[in-house]
Amino acid sequence: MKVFFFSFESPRMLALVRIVLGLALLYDGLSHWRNAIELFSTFGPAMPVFVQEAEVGRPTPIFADRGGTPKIVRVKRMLPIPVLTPEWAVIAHTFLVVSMLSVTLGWHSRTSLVAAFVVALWLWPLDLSSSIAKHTVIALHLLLLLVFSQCGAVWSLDALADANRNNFCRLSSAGPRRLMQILVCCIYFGATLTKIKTPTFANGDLLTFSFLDDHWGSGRIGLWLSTVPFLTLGLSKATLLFELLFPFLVWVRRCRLPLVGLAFGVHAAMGLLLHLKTFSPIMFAALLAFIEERDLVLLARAIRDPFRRVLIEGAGGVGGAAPSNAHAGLHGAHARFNFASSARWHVIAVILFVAAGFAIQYIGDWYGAFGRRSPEALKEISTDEFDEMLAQRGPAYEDYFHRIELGSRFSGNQVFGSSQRFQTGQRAYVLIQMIQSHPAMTLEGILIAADGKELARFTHRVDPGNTYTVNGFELTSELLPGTYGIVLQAEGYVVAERQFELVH
Amino acid sequence: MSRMPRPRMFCVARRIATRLAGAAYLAALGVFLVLSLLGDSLLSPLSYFFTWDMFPAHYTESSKRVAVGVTVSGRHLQLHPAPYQQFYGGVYGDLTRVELERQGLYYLAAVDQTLKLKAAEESHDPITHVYLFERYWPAKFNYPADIYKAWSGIEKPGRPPAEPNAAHTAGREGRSAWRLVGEFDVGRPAPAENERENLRRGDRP
Repeated sequence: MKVFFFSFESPRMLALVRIVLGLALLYDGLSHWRNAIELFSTFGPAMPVFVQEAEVGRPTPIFADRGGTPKIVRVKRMLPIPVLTPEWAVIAHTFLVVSMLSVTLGWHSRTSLVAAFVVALWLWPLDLSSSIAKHTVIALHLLLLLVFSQCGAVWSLDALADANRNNFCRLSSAGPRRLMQILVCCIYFGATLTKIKTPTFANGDLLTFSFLDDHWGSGRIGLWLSTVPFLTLGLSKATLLFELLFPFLVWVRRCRLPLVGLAFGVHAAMGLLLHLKTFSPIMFAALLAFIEERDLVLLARAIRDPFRRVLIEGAGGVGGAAPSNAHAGLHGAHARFNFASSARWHVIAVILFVAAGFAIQYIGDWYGAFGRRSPEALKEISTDEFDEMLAQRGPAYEDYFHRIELGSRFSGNQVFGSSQRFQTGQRAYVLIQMIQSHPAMTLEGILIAADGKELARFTHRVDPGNTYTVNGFELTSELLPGTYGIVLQAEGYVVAERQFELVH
Repeated sequence: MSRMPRPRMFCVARRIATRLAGAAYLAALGVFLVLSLLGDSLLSPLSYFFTWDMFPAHYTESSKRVAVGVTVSGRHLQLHPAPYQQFYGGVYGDLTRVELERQGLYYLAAVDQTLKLKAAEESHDPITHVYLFERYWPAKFNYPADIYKAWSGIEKPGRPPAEPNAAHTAGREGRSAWRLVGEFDVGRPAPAENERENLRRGDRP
């Protein structure tokens, strides 16, 4: 236990975590910067994550998303987190961006990490819509753990500015990295528990509708995947298996690298297939905690010279036996980066950056919050448009049906066998998948011969809670070979028609 | 420049503090993992930071929100999306914060804010009543037309004639429907949920 948590090791792995995490959060900060007034200030208004209903004072269950019609309520904050005025919101958010930049560069790394953590912990929970989410919570954990590490000792401005860097070994406690590893395992295990308890994940529906979702959905590849239920089912099971095995097998020496590689692949695929913002880069940063010093040495051997020198430079402290040519090339660096060791220069740079950010927002005044621009007038809606809204015409019946499939066998939420060709003696199963919010309705399936004659009919009452129904027809020997049709009706309205060939 | 050696007491205290902090962190991870295992969804801000419930739900519908204010003279003004909603997110970059937060917790707050910011400008013809609408459509209409046809075997239905949020829709949703999710008189608080149903059934101004 003591060796596991408190042994000393090279700080390079955590320097990698710092750089990748810093880049991800810098991107996130820059992408939100223009809208800082809307997202984090009283002008927005801010949308804090921890709220309760204002009218009755009972907590609003914001932690578990719900489907269906939203509950329109007035809410009030649960925690007395101060919400800033537009001016201070711009200043605070610009400061956060500068802090992320400093973290990435490793400029007064620990101070920058503390500043980034504190400001992010304050600002992000003020924006439920786009800033606070599970991936940014993971980022907060990583920032906090990096504070207690020597992640700025290499590959940083701090290291370049340190005149004594070649005179002694730079070692870091393994503790923060071990805690990150345990954090990642907890994340996967917790995610597995959630998914196991969510039947719609296990049957592939959750992934299908995630691909289709306009909040975090997908491009064309994911949309195509969602049209093939077997694929989404397989991907769901594979994800579940991976997340279940990772926390246990990653501690087995032989499995570590393959599993970490697989995890990188899974998150890369998620990043490509889903619109998850910085979730994948943040998980990449977290997974780097599983990289060992010997992996970096192997990497250094495998890659080309200019990059190898960078890797060797970081290793210089470990054992203090770095090649002399690497040192020779870096002696001049201290003089060039001497300014970086001065806190005064850092403070001046931060003030200039924040002042420039504020000046740009003040001059642009995109929200009219500084009184420099008149806000646009409200758009007028025609009476026809308004009447159309107020009429509240419900969807067509067929819009309540997501998927209607035919097959000769079924299991769970899938049908198997050809949907075009059946043999006498088989059953023609009709699998119907409905959307979550639908009214109670009576479904009728009608088997029709080629001449239009009705041969058989099933009737099924669907309650609002039902998502799947499976019905079908026995294709007995009384039916002659030929073309048949199945017409599906909801409350007497035709919602789908399918045709198939019956052969002996 | 050499650093002054730190007092031994300081080093010992720091070591103890570090170990206690590490133990507390591990304990927090463990406790909330066990709570998750047991299915105890403890609703507290702290639990949010230690519960890993990614992908807890899915949605078979997509929606957008349009709030309309009716003025004294009978004009209909769009209060949401308003010029103050400039942050757009989602796959197609067409969802405001009010839509990104699915439960609608801040729908009223955003409309209140617009009313407040525009009160002076609209003082000659003040808004007296607000309708909170939601336009919704099945998620299957998020398929592009070609994938929809290949998947379902039929053409994707067209856009509805009424399109008040046309600047941010690009017609991807195909056929959609409207529902009224709330309404209130300006100057009075929004009705509680159970009263809203009565309002919907009763006479509208």
